[in-house]
Amino acid sequence: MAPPTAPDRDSDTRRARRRRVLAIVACVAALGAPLPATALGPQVTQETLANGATLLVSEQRNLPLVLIRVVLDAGSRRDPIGRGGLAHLTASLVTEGTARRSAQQIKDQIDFIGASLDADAEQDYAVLSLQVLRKDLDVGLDLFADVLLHPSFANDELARQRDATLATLRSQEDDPTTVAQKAFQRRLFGDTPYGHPVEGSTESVPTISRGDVQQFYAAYYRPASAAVVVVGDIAVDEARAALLRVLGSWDGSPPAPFVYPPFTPPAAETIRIDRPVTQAGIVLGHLGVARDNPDYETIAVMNYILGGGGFSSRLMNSIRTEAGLAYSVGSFFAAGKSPGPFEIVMQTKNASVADAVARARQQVEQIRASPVSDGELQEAKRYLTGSYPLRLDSNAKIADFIAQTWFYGLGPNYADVYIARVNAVTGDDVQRVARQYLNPDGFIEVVVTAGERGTAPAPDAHHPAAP
Amino acid sequence: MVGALLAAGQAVARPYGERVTETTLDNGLKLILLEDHKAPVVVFQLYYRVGSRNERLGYTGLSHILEHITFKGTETVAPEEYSKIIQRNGGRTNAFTSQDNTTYFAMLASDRVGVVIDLEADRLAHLKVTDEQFLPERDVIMEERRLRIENDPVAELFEQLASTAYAAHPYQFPIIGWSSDIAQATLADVLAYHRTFYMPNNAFVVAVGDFDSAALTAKIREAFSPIERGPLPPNVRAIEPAQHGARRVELERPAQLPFVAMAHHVPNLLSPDAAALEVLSAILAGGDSARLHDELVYRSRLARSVGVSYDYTAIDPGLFTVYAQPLPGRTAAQSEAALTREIERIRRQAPSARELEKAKNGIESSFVFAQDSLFYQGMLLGEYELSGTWRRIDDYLPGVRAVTAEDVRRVAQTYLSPTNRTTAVLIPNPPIEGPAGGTPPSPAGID
Repeated sequence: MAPPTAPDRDSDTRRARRRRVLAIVACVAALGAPLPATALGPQVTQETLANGATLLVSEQRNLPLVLIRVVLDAGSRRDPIGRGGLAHLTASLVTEGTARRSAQQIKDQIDFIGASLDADAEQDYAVLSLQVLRKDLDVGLDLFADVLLHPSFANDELARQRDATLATLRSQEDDPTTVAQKAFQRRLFGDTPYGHPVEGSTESVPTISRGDVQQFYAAYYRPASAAVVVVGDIAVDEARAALLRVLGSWDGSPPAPFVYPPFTPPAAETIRIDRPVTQAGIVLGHLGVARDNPDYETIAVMNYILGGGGFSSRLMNSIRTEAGLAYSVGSFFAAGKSPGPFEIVMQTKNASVADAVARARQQVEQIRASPVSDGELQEAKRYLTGSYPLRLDSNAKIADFIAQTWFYGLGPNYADVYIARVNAVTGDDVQRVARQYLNPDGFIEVVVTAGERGTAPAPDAHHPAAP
Repeated sequence: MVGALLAAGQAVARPYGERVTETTLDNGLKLILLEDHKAPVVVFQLYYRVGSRNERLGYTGLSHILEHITFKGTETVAPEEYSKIIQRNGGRTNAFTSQDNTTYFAMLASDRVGVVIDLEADRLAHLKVTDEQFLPERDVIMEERRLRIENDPVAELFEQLASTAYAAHPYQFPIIGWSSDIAQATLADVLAYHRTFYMPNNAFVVAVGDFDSAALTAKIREAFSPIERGPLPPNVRAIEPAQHGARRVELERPAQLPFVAMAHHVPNLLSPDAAALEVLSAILAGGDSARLHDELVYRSRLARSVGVSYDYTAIDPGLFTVYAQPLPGRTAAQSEAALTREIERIRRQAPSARELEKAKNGIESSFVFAQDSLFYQGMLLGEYELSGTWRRIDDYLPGVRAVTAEDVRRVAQTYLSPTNRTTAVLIPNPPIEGPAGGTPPSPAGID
């Protein structure tokens, strides 16, 4: 239904995902050891299972439910060239039938206990999630383990998921901002692992075969590079026993380490894509940073001031509050295991594109040219540190936090580390990272808008016509 | 600690009636407070009883425009400073307008909740806006309408569906308003609207989280008590007359895929039939094994997505809407025929005992899972309070549990009739050519 309308005062529509290079701390222990106490973060017990998987348990007794997430090194960065969408198809097929159960039986049994079972791929990793009432834990775990260990990848299910993905890709073409982002991503990263959408493309998806999926699953759905996160109404010993019972046969050596191939980011370019829209979708940006960048928290402070801080941000103030040119405008660094993009994203009526883009560029120039005010700096630091508890106020958020801090190797007390690092940022630091990581002269600028020639056929998004 | 098991084998958290404190200040402002100490966080929500339901022709979207304008400052707070103050206190804030209400909210660390209380009292009593702030904000709302509706074919279809399904009731209006109404709105309109609807006795507070109810009540009393009650706005007296014949609307516009939605007039939670309609909704679309997904998406491969929405807590009777988006190469007519078949099937024959049990289990577990979110619990209390009293939340699961298979069939028979139906169909025209889909597979092998 039509959602309630809000002024989207939290404009950071795509929070930069928390990422960092993995530093595996194998504490091979028969019993789980509570990690060092943390002032802010959730209490977690970590251990390594015999098959190499990391088990992370956080007991939360406030509701009779249990959340389980398996994080796998099986994201779309692992897609072979020309097979974009393979990681996504593999994840979406895992739940669609096993050696013992048909897709419909799995759905029916999950629905009957009111649970949810989902698998999804991101660029860096894939996640299989179970949400189940405590009283149905055993039934839920059996289903969960069955889909993780014995997916059948039947041909007709592959055809269904392929069709569904192609339909999604088709539907995304209605949204000018999505069209702009895809063209930006393609231009920035080309054929390298971050250069294609997680879902793949209309060219790549039809070429993916059952053999491709089976090979991908065999290569990357392995315990030695995985973590099992358990949050909820369950004790550590219970969680361990239950998981050992259902995942006992899960085995395999770690997959080959991922190496991002060296590539030279492209030079500045302006790309116009013609669509019959009243409002343009705009993306400006260039290569950003990886999650393990030592400047990550400093960049977070700088970007809050520039465009991540909603109504406290300069982009919002200039483009929305002063000029009324856009409803939503923001900037983010999507920091992955490898350097992701820096992007400014906004929408404005076709006639205002030049004005809005000029204002955005001006704000980037300004934050590089002169130091931010002490008030802005304090505001950014107070928000980023003070809002940390809001990231951990539900079991679902706690599970996400544990999964991400593990995958990016941020360390068990990262919440405290983050606060300390943010608090240490100075005005000079902000200007230094603005100069180092922002380059308006190097922007790839993508605008999806109605051309003055009316609605000529849109250029293929993979080969946009330069003006 | 909540989460006590009240019945063997049934996970039911403690009733809200045992956990919520309700107080009404002398000026009529009601406080609905739910302590939940699992995280050092408070969700504060202020509900005004005004939404698009209170609007009229030529002036649609005023509730939403006012929601934007309340962030434009007071005698002591600069424009947009509200959000900055919340954020510099480590909080998040936003607001939303819907058919029945306008809600302002902030989420803060426990020790900062006083900040939002003071700000809300200040802007209720001392809103101060000039054309200098109003005119650019009106442009922002035009951009918002372009973003939400004009660039989203399905959203525009739902707008057409509502405006066709209702003849006499303001639920026919888009919440964001018609474009020409937004363009003509004046600051004087908006300030008059503020005077008419924003007063303590036309509002209530919901807070959920880590606080002491007595201390929070004292804080809110201190901030809001000086604000006097006002004359209550006129009741919305429109009553949608019964529909006696199918209605149909088509929307032709650029779009990648067609879409079909079928809406039926139904009663809200005040009716004894509401619980059965909730179960009916779950049987049709409560999960991937539910009937619509199983039939249209899985078996016949007609649709990429299906769904049902039921306005259970709407103040006035709302809609029960069944919808589908066809897969590429399939037609809206095929999906419409399949939806109609499924509706007729449930109208003729009651569901099996197991299917009924599955639907109820899904509803019950969703109810428990939803309590993981402080914000959602606040929304739940707010929605129930708007349509009567938050206390009815505790009747929800018992009501659902009492529904029989025959009840489900009967409400389907009663309400999902062709003569009580409005069908909206999105027709892509001209069809947009996206990136070509027929490129031959690349010969590149895979190692």
